[in-house]
Parts: sequence; structure tokens; C-alpha cells
Amino acid sequence: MEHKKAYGLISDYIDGMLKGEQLKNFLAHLKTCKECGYQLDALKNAVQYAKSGRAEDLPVNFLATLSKRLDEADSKKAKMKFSWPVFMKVSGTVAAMLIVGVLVRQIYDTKTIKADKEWLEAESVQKPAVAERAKDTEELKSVKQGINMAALAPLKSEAPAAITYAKKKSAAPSRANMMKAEALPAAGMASKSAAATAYDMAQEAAPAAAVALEEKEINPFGREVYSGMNSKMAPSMKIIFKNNLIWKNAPGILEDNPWLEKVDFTRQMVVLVNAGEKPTSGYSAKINSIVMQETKIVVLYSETAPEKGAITAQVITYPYSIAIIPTSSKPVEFIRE
Amino acid sequence: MEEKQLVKLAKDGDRRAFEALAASCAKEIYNLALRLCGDRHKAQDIAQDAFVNAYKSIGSFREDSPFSAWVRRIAVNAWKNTVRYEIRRYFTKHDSIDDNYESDDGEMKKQYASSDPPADKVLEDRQKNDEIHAVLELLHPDAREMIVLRDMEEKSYEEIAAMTGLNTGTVKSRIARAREAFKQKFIKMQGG
Repeated sequence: MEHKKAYGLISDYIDGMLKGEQLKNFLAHLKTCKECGYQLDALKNAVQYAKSGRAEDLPVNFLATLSKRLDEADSKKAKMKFSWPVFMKVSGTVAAMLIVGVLVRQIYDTKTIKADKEWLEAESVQKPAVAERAKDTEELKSVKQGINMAALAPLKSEAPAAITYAKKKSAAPSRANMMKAEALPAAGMASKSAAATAYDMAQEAAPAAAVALEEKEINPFGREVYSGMNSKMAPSMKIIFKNNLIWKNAPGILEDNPWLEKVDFTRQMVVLVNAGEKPTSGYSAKINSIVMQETKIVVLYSETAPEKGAITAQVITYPYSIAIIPTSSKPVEFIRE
Repeated sequence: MEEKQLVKLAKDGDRRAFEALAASCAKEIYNLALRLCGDRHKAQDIAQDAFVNAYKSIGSFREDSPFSAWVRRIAVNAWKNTVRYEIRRYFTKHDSIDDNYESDDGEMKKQYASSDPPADKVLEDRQKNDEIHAVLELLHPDAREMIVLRDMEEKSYEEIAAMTGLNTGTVKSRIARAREAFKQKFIKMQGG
């Protein structure tokens, strides 16, 4: 038997695991190999040394301590039956959800308040509103696609508002009312300004018949549009007014539409698209639609300029378009169509 | 009462039956734990953990071996978990685990043997055991397990295989390697 193989069998030999031919060969090798003989003795001594250990007595308190630990295990088991884990899991989940909800709400509120504040400040300093968008941009398309047309109250033309107004004013049987009634056809197709003129004339003719406007008459829920050519506001801007600064900055609008003084800024706000100062007539601005989305308000508007070579009056104009909508803290996006 | 009856009662939730079973093999389990870990406090914890785990899972005891063999298996696993935890702790401390085995010059760092002379037989046994533990402590846990089970607990290859989940051939070769390692440490400890 080779030395290496015999060396590897020493442990088995000690345990009496070698049998027959293998045992015979191992013993034969052992007689001739001093090294293996030495290793066998050394290993036997080591094993004997390991076996020489004595079993020790249990620590005095071992069984008492074990009994206590078994008590603990029992009580835990009992608690488990009481379904504390289920209760804890459910209550923990609910608590975690509440905490997350409160945190999210707080973050949202903070952001909303901040946004509202910035918005109001922006209005106060008459900053230009959100940037205009190029015609038929991808965003415009997507916005259009997102509009639920059925849900939108169609924009009323200027004339019906004027008519409504004139009708109200004609409640008293007077000459003024007659004049207002006459004014209606003029207001029918054209603009609010025409109706206003009729109103003014009627008011001059019969001031006694003038009745104070009720708040609800000024677009309580509407998205009515009033357009004109003389806002007297030189800068071009698209903006929301939540206070009466609009009348100071664009006095022409109120001159055109005196009833707008009755806008209740606690409930309503004014959307203004002001094209700015133009050198001739032929320019226009118009709010085409207002989309109340879940997170924002989208104002679709258009501006036109006279075609090249068109004959225009050489007067300075300030085209504008305004709409009265219920007040809202949502951001407003202006998109040019 | 026979062990089988006690086991049946314990499985039915009889706490006293289980305590009787535990008391019958507590010394055996404690000494196994002591040989494996070489520390009396740890040995007590390991042995008690083994009994508590056995108590919790007595329902899964298949009774194809004596109760003590089943708890012994649980105790070996409990010790292995302790070793794994200690290894992780050593690495967490950036302390080389090899320091617990042997330093470069071969000097043993951990000496469990007391320098005080034994006062009586009990203390003498304890000192003897401590010396053996000091050598075992220098071995890899796998090798230590084999020496304890084969040479100190005198279990057969088959019993060790059943206890460790290894096959008999692997047990045989591990025992041979473990003994070789133990022999070398033993010779060094004796100044050889």
C-alpha cells in the first residue's frame, strides 16, 4: 500500500472501519513505515485526549430557568391565539396609511398654498402669464384631444349676454326700455359694445329707469367672452385677474363694458388676452374656449393680424378678449390656436 | 413513564410531560453544547434555546429517533447559528476571525484553562475540559463539530450523518481531516 493512501486511512483504522484486504495491507504498510506509525500514535493520543473530557453537571438553575423560558413561550403562544399579530398587522397598516395620507396631504397643501400665493403675486404685478404656444403644436393637439367637449359649457356669444342685460334693464315700461329693445338687433350679431352703447343711450334718456344690476347677472357660472379693440393696455399679455386692478391697467375694457364693474372678485375672476398696442385696425384677439381640467385651466385663444396689403384704418388699437369664470386656484395655461 | 408516553402527552400540550423529557436529557444536551462552544454561559443558553425550540415544535417530532437525539440535533443547529452570528460580529468589528485560532508565531491567544490549581475533583474535571475546549476552539467549526460528535460524544458515523444531514462518506472524510487538525493543535499546545 502506498504511504499516502495508508496515511489517509489512519483515522478509519482508529475507528475500526478497515476490513479484510484493506486492513491487511494497511497493517503491512504500518510495519515498514515509521512515519505512519508515528502519526498513528499521535492521532490516537489526540483522540484519547478529546475523549478524556468529563461530563459536567448541569448548572444549578438550569431547569428553573428553562421552566421560566417555557412560560414565556407559552404566554407568547397565548398572545398569538389572541390574534395580536393580526390586530397589530391591521392596525399598523392602517396607521401607516393614515400617516402617509396626512403627509401627502400636507405636502400637497403646502404646494397649493405656495402656488396660489405666487399666482396672486404674479397677478398683482401684472406679470405676463404663461407662455404662448405655437399654433398646432403637439401640446395643443393633446390638449384638444383631452377636452371633453360634451362637458364644456359652450362659450356664449357676446350678443346673448348683451341681450340678457338689455332685457333686464327693460323691465320698467319706459322710453328707455323701448330704446333698449331697439338696441337689441344691433347687439344681436355684433358685440357687447353695441349693446353697451344702447344701454348708455337708454340710461341717458331715462336715468330714473336704471336698475342696479344683480350680482348673478354677471356671469355667475359662465364663460362668456367679451372682445374689443380698445383695452388701452399697451403690453401684450395673457393673464388672470383676481382683483379690480384690471380696470386700472386696462381702463378701456370697463369703458366698453361698464357692467363689468359688477364682477364679484370674491367668486369670479377675469381671464384677459390682451394683444397689446397695434398700429392699425384689423388686429383682433379672441378667447375661443376655456377648459377646466382637473389640475389646471386651459385657455385656448387666437390673435389675428390684417393680411398684407389689406386696407386698414391708421389708428392705434388695443385688441383684447376677456372672459369671466368662477374663481379658482388652479394654474392657468394659455395656448394660442 | 416511558419516553413515548411522555412525548405523546407533550404533543398534546402537557407542559409537565415535556419538562420531564427535558430533565431526562438536559445534562447530555448541556455537555454537548459545552463541548461545542467551550463556554459554560453560552452552553447554557444554547441548550435552553434547543429545549425551547423543541417545545415549540414538539408537534413535528417524528419519533423515529430518541427524544434526546432530536434535541441534540436542534442544539447543534443552535450552536451553528451562534457561530454564524459570532463570525458576522467579528467581521463587523473588522477583527480577523483567524485571531481566534492562532497567531503568526503559533501562540494560542485564547486560553480557557484557569491558572489556579484545582481544589477538588469537580474543579479538576472542569480544568481538564477547559484545556480540551481551548484546543477545540482553535479548530474550524465544522472540524470541531466532528471531533465533539465522534470522539467526545462517541456517536457512530451513521448517527452523525443523520444529525448533520451529510452522507456517511462525507462524515468519514470530515472526521479524518478534523482529527488531523486537532492532532496538530494538540501537539502545538503541548509545546511540540
